[in-house]
Amino acid sequence: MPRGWVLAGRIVAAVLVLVAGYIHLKLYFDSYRDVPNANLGRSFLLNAAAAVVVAVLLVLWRSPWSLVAGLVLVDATLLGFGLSRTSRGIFEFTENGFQPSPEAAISLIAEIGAAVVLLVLLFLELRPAESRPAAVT
Amino acid sequence: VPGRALVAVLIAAVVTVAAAAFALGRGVASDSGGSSTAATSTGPAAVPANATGVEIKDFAFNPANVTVKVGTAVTWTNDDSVGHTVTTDNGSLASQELQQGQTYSSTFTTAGTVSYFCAIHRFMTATVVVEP
Repeated sequence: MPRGWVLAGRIVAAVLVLVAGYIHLKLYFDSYRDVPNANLGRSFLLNAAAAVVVAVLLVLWRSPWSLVAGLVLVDATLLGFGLSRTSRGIFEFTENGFQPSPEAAISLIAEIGAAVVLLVLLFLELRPAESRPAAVT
Repeated sequence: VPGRALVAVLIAAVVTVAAAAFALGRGVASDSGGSSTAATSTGPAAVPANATGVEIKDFAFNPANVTVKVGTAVTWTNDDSVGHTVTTDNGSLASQELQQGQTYSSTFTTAGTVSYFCAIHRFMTATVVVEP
């Protein structure tokens, strides 16, 4: 795959990660900083900060490890969302369904989209050299 | 080493698919939907003389415990920017999802203690004590 496409994929993944991070930041300032257990609000802030760091890494650090960092962030965010929908919750916080709407749905779509792009990029970067197209010289 | 790399990609894919399935599955499974009631309205709550108000703010009902006489109307106003409900297990209180500024009212005609919660955020609980 041409290097330009790989860079484009990284930029797309970075944008999707940033979208999810922005939504977490917006929700933090909207209301979630007031959730009784402050760790819940802090986790939203941490998510937004991590999204910025990962987005920069994805574009500037052309290493498979930046893709892994993106997957760790996205997977952890999805896991946190799922946990908050269990009776046990996360940081004593529970929420039902795809609330708040539409932020939760948009964030999920962005995270899952980012995960797909990151997995494809990771596969392309780590696949055996013999299966890659020969370089044009 | 390339084989190991592909195994790593496969593991990453499995973990990601599991996380996404968990998030989507729990989202769907916990989606309580919204029950409707004619008592929900938008705008400043008109609190009659024989009435009391409860504010929903910062993911809490305030005051969390109110005591009223039989025949008193209680009006809940959502001041949070996220939606909340006023709900009881037996359905005696069943607001739709209240957006910021919306209110829900109910008149208590029987003495007793009514425990209620937000159906979206189940950790938000409160009570209304109705005295004869």
